[in-house]
Amino acid sequence: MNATEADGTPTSDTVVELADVWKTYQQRQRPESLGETFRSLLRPTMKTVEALKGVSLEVRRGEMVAYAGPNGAGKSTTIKLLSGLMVPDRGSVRALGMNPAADRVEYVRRIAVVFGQRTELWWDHSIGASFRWKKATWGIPDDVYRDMLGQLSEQFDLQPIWKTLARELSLGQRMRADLALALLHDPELILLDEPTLGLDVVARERMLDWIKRLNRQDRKTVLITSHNMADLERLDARVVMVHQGSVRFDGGFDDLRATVADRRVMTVSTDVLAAPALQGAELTRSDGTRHEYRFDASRVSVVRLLEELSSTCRIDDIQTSVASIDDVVSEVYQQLEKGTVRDIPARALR
Amino acid sequence: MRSLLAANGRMGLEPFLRGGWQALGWVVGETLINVSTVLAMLLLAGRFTGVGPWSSTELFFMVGFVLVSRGLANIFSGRNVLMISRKIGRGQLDHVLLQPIPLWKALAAEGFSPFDLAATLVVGVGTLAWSVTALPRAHDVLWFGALLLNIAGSACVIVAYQYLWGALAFWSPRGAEEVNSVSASVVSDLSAYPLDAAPRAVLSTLVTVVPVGFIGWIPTRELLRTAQGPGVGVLAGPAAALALAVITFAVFRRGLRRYERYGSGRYSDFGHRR
Repeated sequence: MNATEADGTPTSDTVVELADVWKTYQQRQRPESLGETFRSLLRPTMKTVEALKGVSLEVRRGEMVAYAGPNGAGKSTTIKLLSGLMVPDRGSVRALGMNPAADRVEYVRRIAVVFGQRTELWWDHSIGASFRWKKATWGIPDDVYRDMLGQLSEQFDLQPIWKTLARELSLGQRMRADLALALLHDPELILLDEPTLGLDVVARERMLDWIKRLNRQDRKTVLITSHNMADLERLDARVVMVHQGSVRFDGGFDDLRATVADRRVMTVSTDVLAAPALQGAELTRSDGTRHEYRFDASRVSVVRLLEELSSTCRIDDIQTSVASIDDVVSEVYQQLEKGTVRDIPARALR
Repeated sequence: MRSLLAANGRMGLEPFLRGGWQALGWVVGETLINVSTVLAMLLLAGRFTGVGPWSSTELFFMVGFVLVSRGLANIFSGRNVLMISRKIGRGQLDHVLLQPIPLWKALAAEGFSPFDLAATLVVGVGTLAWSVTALPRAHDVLWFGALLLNIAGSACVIVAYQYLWGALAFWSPRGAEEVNSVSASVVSDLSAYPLDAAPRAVLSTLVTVVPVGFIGWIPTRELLRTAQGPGVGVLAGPAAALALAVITFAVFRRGLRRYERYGSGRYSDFGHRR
């Protein structure tokens, strides 16, 4: 029985495999006084930063994994390890059956890497020139180039920007061209590091749609990092959450929400300026007579809160919603920081 | 490799095709900057009958030789490939490592700029050709072979020397950029001078730590010394180039291992694929 039959994953082969990966950096501490400066010439003070602490992760062919975490969690380090740009201190990194750093030349031919704040485009050249340059550098055969370019041009609407210099594009257009360029050699594994960073709402939506389509329609294996959980939730991907160098959650977004109870937001319009205190709910915002509360729906019902509220004031309007994924994640991080992780179900936490 | 060079050469040509007067201005400026670095030597050679044991024609020969060597190195070292500390120190080596070709090939191809950086080479070839015809002795095929070998050796010394100092960026990204700028200006300032009269201590430095002596002075002296054809001395320049290349390769490889371990925490796209 293959994995498709066993657990619903697209195929049985593992594309990415990180096993107990450790990565530390040495940061030189800068002296503040003249004496320290001279001392540091002979004996510099170093600080060890543990970027990854025993990370293990498997990604199967055709899967989309949202690799999430706050700034400094170890996301970019993981992408660099998987791109073959760095080697781990301990543990093993394998992807597409290869060691990314040792088999770099063969390996990078089969992957695509897009860093949100970097560009592979030639700055003072037209977009078309960058594509022609990549064709020669990657040794892409003419027929494959024509086919891929036709597909990408249609999918990413490249025609209007084909003759425009990269430096003249908006960030959204540049990211569009960068993503298309990364796909020109038809890679099997796509690594995206913060691809939505800095994009406006419309450009971000389009970028997320393209990434989703790459996985759903083109069956590409995608590993995407972001600190924007709302973006990642839109992709409907498996989420792997890293915190301080360790994987702390691996599952679906519904599971992630379940780890921090049933968080809801209730906004009420009343006739009082001072927001009434409600048992089991936390006042988060007041704007005139409009008050916003957060509560755990598994412990206290909306009905009970409204009963309590109506006994103190008049209710003109009410609106309830599920807490945003950012709020959920923020709470998870707070629990991790406080060490109250025992509250989170063991199946979700690593 | 040919298609790689063609693709990168074309990237250098495209701005020229659409640049018009701007492109012409660039070529003129590039020519003036490079000629100005040897202008003092050219003026000395033109004004006087010679400097020390060097006749004015021999000085022109040295200047032409150095310009050709530098021009050759420049043609394969555009886009900060010769100022490698910038690529390393700004984390731009990542872009090179993401190409499915060996690192040396990727760098040589990326640096290939025959159209925008050929000015030095053209001026050098002209000066060298004129000075060779003006030299008061006939030269055989063997001598011309030795000349080409020494030009290649000098170009190799320039690249290896820049990479040796540039590789410091693996350890000290910011400091190495400064050092690399100084090492580059030393090449342009001192490589076309006859060093015969230099004090022993200075001379020792100029053929070891800062081996500019092997870029112009020693190779041209050996090429001009033998009236009956090249002696063993003409191999001094190429031998020094080989030794320096081996040392540079070892240091660079060690730095690259460090880059793989620690990466670059100082990414900047300034100067990248411009």
